[in-house]
Amino acid sequence: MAAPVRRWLLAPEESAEAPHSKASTWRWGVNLLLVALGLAAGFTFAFQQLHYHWNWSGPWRYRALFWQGWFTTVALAGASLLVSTTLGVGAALLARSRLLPARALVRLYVEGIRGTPFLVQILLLFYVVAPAFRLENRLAVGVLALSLFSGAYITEIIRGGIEGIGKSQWETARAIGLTRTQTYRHVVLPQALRSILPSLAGQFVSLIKDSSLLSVIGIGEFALQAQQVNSQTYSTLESYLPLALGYLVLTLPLSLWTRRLERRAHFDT
Amino acid sequence: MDLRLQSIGKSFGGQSVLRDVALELTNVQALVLIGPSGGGKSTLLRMLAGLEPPTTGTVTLEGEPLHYHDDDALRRHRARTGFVFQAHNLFPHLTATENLLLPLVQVHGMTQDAALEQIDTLLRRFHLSDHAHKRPSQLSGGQQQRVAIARAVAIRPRWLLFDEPTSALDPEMTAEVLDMIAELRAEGRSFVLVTHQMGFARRVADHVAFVGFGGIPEHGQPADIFDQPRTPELKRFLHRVLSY
Repeated sequence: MAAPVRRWLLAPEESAEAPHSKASTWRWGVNLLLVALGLAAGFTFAFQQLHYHWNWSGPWRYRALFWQGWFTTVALAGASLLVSTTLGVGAALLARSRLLPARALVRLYVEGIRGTPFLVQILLLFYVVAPAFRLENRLAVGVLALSLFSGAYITEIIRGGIEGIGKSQWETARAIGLTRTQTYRHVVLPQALRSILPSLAGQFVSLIKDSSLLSVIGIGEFALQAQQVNSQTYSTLESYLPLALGYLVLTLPLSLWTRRLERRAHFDT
Repeated sequence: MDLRLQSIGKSFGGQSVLRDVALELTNVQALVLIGPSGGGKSTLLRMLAGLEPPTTGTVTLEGEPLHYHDDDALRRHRARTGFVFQAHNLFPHLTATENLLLPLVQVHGMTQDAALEQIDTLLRRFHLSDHAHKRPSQLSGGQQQRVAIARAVAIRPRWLLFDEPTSALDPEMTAEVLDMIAELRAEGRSFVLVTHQMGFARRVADHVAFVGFGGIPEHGQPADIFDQPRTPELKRFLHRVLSY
């Protein structure tokens, strides 16, 4: 390959990330744009083969429903994000406690949740567990289901982060007389959090998208409302494309933020 | 310090490292432990620090036995002990100042302001002020060890314990760390030092214990230990380490 072409197409060796200098940022941007245009051309071709008759007027009439659904999703995901993180930290600490029943509980929780479909968990919680405990608020059940589901993954992420903290850190904390709680609070968790932020943010992205499954118990979140619009207007693509866009608006900033965190963590060490 | 070890034994998973170790010292300021690697020096030091319980026997410091089965008593003992490890002493997410601040505020209940003032004085005295706001990753190995020693001193410990504080350092950094320890010696602080630096051991110690072969085959004044070793184990050890 000729040198100028190489310079435009290849990143410097040993660099997995997008390069940082001004010139290389520019080259990266051009590459990104070209690939995006290529993909767009592919999709345009596919849509043209379909001979689809776009009709945006139906979905537009129901735009209030979209908004309502989108805000419900934001609320659901936001609440679940807080609850599942709390749950994850708690369970990760329990998994490391000296109390064996506590460890067993966390083990069963994590394996049970990760090994079964989210759909089954939602149905089980909504039709069996929630009625038994007189939990009637649909949204609360939804937040609970999503938090329990995502919490299991967060537990594993945090546990991994804690286990990644070197033995010397625990030993030093012990040597200066910190209690176990103080060690977690001031030494272990701050360091663990730094290293797991990228994977944690990735889990949050999943959580936002997974909230769409709560439509099966009739929570009027974004995906359910898009389904409603579709069944009212028979404009399938016009109902579901805004759905994709609505999720992207939430998840893309999270991903970009993760990228930045990764780069920062890179410089820190 | 007054230190007494009575029939100390330690084994790890059936493998015994120390057997029936006894030592009685009164009024010693600087005790240096020398001996072959894997001979139990560090294990003994960690025992003194309250980081590792002996399998059998008693450790008595200043006339009081250490209670290895009482977690709170043990933590209080550790809080009054300034321990410096071979490396990785500092918390990497905290600056030098914050590393010193953590035990002062969390363990010793000082107010933030009082602690910061004391830290400032201490860092200045050890010529570390320029590094006060740096993270460990921005410091050289020697500077890291000096900050670690400053942290050990900051808590006003009853004694300092050094576990091979220079064995991860190059000669120049080793010198800067040893200078600091010599300074603390001149100041009258009590400490126990595990080291492979025989010249320094001789200069700084007022008592040397040769730890190895499951016990303490020989101990005494530095001049006796280094010039007139009696046991064949110590003779062989000194011959080996001093030949290069």
